[in-house]
Amino acid sequence: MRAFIFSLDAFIAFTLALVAIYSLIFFSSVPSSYYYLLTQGHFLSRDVLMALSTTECTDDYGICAASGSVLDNIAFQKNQTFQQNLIMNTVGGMVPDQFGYRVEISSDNGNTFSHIYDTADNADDPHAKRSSKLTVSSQVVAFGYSGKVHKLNESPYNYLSCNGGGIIDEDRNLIYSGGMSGWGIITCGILELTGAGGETESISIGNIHPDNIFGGEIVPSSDVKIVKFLVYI
Amino acid sequence: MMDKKGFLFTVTVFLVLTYILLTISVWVKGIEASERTFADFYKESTVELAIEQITPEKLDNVTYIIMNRNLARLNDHVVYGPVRDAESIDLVLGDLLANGSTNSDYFLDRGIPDESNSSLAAWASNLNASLLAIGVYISNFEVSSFTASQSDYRHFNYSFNITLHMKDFTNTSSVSRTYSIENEIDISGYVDAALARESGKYGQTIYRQFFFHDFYGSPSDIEANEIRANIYGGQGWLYGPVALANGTADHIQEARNIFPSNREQYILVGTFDEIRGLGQEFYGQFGGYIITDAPEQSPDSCGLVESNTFSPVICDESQLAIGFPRLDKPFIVAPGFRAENAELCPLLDSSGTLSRCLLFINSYGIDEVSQSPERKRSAGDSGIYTVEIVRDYVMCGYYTNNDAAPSFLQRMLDDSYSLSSEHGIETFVIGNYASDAEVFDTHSRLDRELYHVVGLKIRGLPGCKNAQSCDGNEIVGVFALSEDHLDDYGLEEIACEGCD
Repeated sequence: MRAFIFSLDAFIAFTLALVAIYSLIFFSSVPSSYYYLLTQGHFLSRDVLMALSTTECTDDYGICAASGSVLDNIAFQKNQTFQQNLIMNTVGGMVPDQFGYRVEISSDNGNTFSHIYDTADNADDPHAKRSSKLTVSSQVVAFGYSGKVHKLNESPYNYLSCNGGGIIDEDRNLIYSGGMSGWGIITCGILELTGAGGETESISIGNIHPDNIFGGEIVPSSDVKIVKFLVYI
Repeated sequence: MMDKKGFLFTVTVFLVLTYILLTISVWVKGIEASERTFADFYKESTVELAIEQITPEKLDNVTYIIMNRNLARLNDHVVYGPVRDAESIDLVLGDLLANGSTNSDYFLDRGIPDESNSSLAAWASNLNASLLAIGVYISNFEVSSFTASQSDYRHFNYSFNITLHMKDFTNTSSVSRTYSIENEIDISGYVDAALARESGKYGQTIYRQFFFHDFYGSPSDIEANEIRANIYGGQGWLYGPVALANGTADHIQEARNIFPSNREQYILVGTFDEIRGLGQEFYGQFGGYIITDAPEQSPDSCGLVESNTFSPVICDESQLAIGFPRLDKPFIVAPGFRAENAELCPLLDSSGTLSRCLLFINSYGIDEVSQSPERKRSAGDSGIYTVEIVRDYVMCGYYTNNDAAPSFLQRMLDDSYSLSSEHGIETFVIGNYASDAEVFDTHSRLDRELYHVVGLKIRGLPGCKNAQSCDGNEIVGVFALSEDHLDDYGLEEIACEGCD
């Protein structure tokens, strides 16, 4: 009888220990850390796109060839080097180095995407080169001008109140804005324009179609693209 | 006893297995719930990103880009193919906004080329592709109540309603949302289509852009002003920067510091003694003179004669004559006149420096005074003027509001210059591109009169700085304005017919 009691006690103790160890393993194995990483990646990709689409492109970030946001300039920039520099100077600062990222653009309603920049392709980029756990992506429509808007708001000719914005005070006094660096004098002067083929054309300064000065239309056509941003975690 | 032990063992194992199965079940349910929570969360977050793309602000921005592009495109196109009538402008812009194309019947000559990228259709198509992730799409959109107008002469206004119909891919739910869009575009910088079209008919196409300045809201803001002065007399007229015979003043150089080749453009200001003290060879290089002291007068057998002045009226063989020292150039005698009262003006050379400029006009020209010396003392129609406000308006290529002129939208129509609007705008056109005497002659330089109406020459304005250039010798042409509009711009006193 004593032996039975002893065996029963040992068996119950063993069972309780087993249950306790199993419970510990069970509760510690709920896969919550995976979701937190996913959430972080998702927020990161979304915030990067939001920030790019709401930030006006300025020289601080690189060469802005199109008017509008940084996203527009990434999407509509034709020079690949400028495009990649813009991405590195903006996205690069927003994504922590332990993550990698890739930017893709589609010009055909999302049917195909072309890689614009991938940290894996740039050995000098300190960001991660590959995904160790998962890849998260977000995409957004970029709608903007395909180039710079050159519509002038102020007369570029030279006299008192023009030349890029002179001042006239409340007493009707004209205050000269200085310099003769505008388009010149509206009534006279000849501008020599050189065409793509090297041919030259003489045009009266006060009679120049602005497209000839800017080398493109004053309001370029608009363009629409889908920009996809992927984060490697 | 052994049987009981076996039973207890079996029950215990059964309980442990049950516990393991239950916990696995809870684990799986937990994962499912977690998946569901996070899937909803991501969907919600993606929807947020998608919704961000169809907020009223975003739509306003997208439509502004489309309208700005299409307005520029239409404005360029109407130089060669004007719109048929005012109502068609609304229809054209509404179509271009929605689809990037429009019916060629709305144009007199040829239709505007399609540009599908610059349209709401292109935007919606790409938006649909990006919405795939959340399982919805824009099934249709409608643009209605489109109106194009002008609230003032400097802005183009548009308004319309856009209804977006969204569905999910299972077609189980749909939602429609209507946005009212209203915005304006500053027309500054667009090329004047009417002037380009009209000038093209007569030879060289003139491309002028619309520029405005708050100061020049109407023709009455643009005028020549007389500088108060006590005028004794003189001969001829001249516009130019001033230089002092003795000393300097604010933005006024001393005569000796003026580069010799530029002296011909300057008006030398000083007393008779100051100017004569410079020597005839030196002061003779200047274009004109303002003598700031009065001559001494004394009675003689011929009448009142002068001394201590240039070109004095003297008595010669019982007749009035012009004595010595004699000036064969324009001059005005204005005792007490201060050159600092002249307005600032830029010297139109590469230096970009400022000086002070003025225009002086006498009742009679040089030849007329030579013929009848007593005319030198006639000051009835004489005056010293500042014309810098008018010159600034002309030289900067500004437009101003005049309800007798066509508006920006009317300039898209054929025969624009026969139309007028409360938002009408007009400008002056003068330059080496508008100087052909056979085409322009002394035509009014008001753009709507440029090819049809002859005007009076305006002294002090481009092409009419002195009697010689105003003869039509200037490469920029001669500034003139029709008599009907002299009053509008306050130029009656400086207008002239012969200008000699």
